[in-house]
Amino acid sequence: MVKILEMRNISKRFPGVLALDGVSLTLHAGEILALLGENGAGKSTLMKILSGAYQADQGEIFLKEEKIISKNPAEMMKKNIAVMHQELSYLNDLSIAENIFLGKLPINKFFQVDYKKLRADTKRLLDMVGLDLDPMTEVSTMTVAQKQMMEIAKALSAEVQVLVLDEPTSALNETEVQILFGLIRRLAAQGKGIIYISHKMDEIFEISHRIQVLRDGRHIGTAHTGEITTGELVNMMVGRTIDTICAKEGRSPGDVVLEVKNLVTARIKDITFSVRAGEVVGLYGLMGSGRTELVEAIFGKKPVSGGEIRIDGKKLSIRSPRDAIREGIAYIPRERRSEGLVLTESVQHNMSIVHIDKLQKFLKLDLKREKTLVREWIQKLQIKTPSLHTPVKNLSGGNQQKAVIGKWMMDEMKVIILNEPTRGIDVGAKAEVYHLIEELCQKGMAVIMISSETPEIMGVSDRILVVHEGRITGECERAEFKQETIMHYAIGEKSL
Amino acid sequence: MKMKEEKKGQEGSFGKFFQQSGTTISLVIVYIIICIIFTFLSEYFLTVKNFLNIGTYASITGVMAAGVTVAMLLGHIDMSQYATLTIATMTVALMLQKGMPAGLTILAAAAVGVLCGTINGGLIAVFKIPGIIVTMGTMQVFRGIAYLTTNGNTVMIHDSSFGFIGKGYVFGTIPFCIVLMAAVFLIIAYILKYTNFGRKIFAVGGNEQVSYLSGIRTGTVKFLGMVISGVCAAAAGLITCSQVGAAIPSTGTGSEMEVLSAVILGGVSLSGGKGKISGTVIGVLILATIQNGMTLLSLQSFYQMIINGSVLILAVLLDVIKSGALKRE
Repeated sequence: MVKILEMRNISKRFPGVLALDGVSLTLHAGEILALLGENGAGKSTLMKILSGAYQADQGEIFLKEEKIISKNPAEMMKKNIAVMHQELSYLNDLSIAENIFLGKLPINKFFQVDYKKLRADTKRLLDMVGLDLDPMTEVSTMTVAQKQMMEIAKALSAEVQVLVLDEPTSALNETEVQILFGLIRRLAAQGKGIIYISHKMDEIFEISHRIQVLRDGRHIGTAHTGEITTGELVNMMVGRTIDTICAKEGRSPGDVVLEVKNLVTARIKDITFSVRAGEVVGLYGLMGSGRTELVEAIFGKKPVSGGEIRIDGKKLSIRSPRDAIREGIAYIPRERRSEGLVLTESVQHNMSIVHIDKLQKFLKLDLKREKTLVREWIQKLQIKTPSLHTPVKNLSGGNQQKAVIGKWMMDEMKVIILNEPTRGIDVGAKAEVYHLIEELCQKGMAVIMISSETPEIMGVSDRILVVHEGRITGECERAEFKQETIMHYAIGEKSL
Repeated sequence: MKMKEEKKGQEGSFGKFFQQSGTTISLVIVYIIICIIFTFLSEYFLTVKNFLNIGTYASITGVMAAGVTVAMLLGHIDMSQYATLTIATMTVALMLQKGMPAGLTILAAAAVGVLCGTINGGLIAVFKIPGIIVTMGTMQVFRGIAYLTTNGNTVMIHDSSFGFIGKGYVFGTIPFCIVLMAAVFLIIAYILKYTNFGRKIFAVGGNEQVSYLSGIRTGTVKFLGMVISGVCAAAAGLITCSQVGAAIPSTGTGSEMEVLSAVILGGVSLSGGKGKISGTVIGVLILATIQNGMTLLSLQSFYQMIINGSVLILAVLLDVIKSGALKRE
């Protein structure tokens, strides 16, 4: 077989994290290669380097034995490498045809857009992907699935040699998936190379020829599909050593604090669970499983359409984060820069904002008390900052994260929800976050932690709930923690 | 670089005043340069009397600018201020004409400010329409209402006690309108720096999503911010009609951008969350001083427009260069 693409020893470092550590990948003509790994394993980073969105710190890319240097997405597209990302990018107010041929619309001799040709070319591409729509249909009127097929058609419009599909079936139903698979097989038969990223095992087994597994930014192994079992793949995905986490045994949870009963939202289908005082409940789920939606519903950010939430037995009606905070719920969001911190404001102002009303004494803020409190928590959390007045945007990722946690510490809270609290921070800062969670537990708070890293969630939690497609598909007590079990629940496989 | 500034700032309150934004210092320098130039060009410029003139002239823009600073810190603009001001002046003049006491008319003006601000703030907070669009609309609506009150006619004010606001003196030498402007600036500065509401203004303007997730009623904060802007416009209206001795329904048409210029010149970010009231004070002073100096030199007002516009662009340009934003590309 002819090698169509080769990526050699690719490394990429982000502040505080080595996202890719010498990863190599080979793709042959006519081959469908599945790329597998947990969230944060480095799949998306690798593909972004291939698409030109990121530049590798080290390593080389060869297209048909010829070395290429990826500078930006436009250049890589010219080299006929098409990457369809998880987040679709299209212009809602334009037609399908205009979206597909954006920037390369056919022009007639009067310098007008040649709509006849445009329509015909588009129709041909739409037929290829099996999308039965008029080329002039406005994109905003289409379903998500149709938009997804359009994106694929767009990738095909160039004389594509390498096609990357990142979770292409997340919004498709069974019939649409089969149309997509038919298309992928046809493209492979034409000698194109295809990289297919998915969390869905059954799809990977159905479509791919070969499977490559990444973990923590490293290449773990490759195998021919059919020569490997699901169990072996799961082992490759999660087989990590637990080093940074000191697993605490023997917490003694108290009474039930938070109760969630039959909760229903747009993406959550009937979830029931409870958390005790001094207990850490880990919430595990793959991207798009609904775990973030679940905690955002509890915190009042996402509307709830059914079910109830109770704290200390009292039924709550939470319509906004403000209501949730008043009931003693704290939420440390996943995106600290867009949801956690006002970047233009100082460390002091950010850390006191949640409880600022309590610092107001008649007509004046009690600035002395504010400073004392903020200083106290800067010290307790060991936030490294030149002064209280430094804008938070000047702090490092780990220190920013600690500031986000610090926001909630000035007053007693009952429930604390942490969404990926160690995302993108270094090992030292991670250890400090774990230590802090331990302290919160000892103070009798009920803790919910979302994490994509199985060793982390197993090290910190007393109990793990696994979410898949808006439902809890599994629950494990500490004694039964096993990465393989959790992963099986997370990919929606009930039995081992 | 930033850290160095921090450390210097810890030393004294004078240093602290300049610590957070270098913008204020560079503006002070620009202001001093402008004053030096005019001192050389006109012998009448550097006198106490002339600076009291500048202050009197600046008082109307200043009071409005104090309010619009709050709106802009929230990431919104208030273009309807002059129209609000005009409704307030018409209300005051018509009430005085009917023989009502001056004190009552002041309350009525304040009510006009609250009402206009409520309409702006309500549309922004409840329907989430950007402030620039809301106030571009209400600017015309309010102006139309102001014309309708008298069918476009001017109303004269004869009440002598009312004249004190715009033309009276405190301690025999200081114009009352300057004291009024200073009071408004101090109140806004106090709100921004020493109250929970002030903190929320910066938070909401800096990042609304973060503020919402921190339990702030972001809509309420934006609403109240626009009400403050409206009330300031009405207060400026009191000074205007008192100084002029009449209420003219076309007051300020075409000058809507002047107040915004002063605030932007003062370093308040158009996208919200960043800025200082001290910057606005200097922004207002710079524009008023240029105006005054050019009048002393008997230059045509057409030149003044050219210079005002150029100063605004130059000041912002200085900031862009200093922040290094140009290097990124």
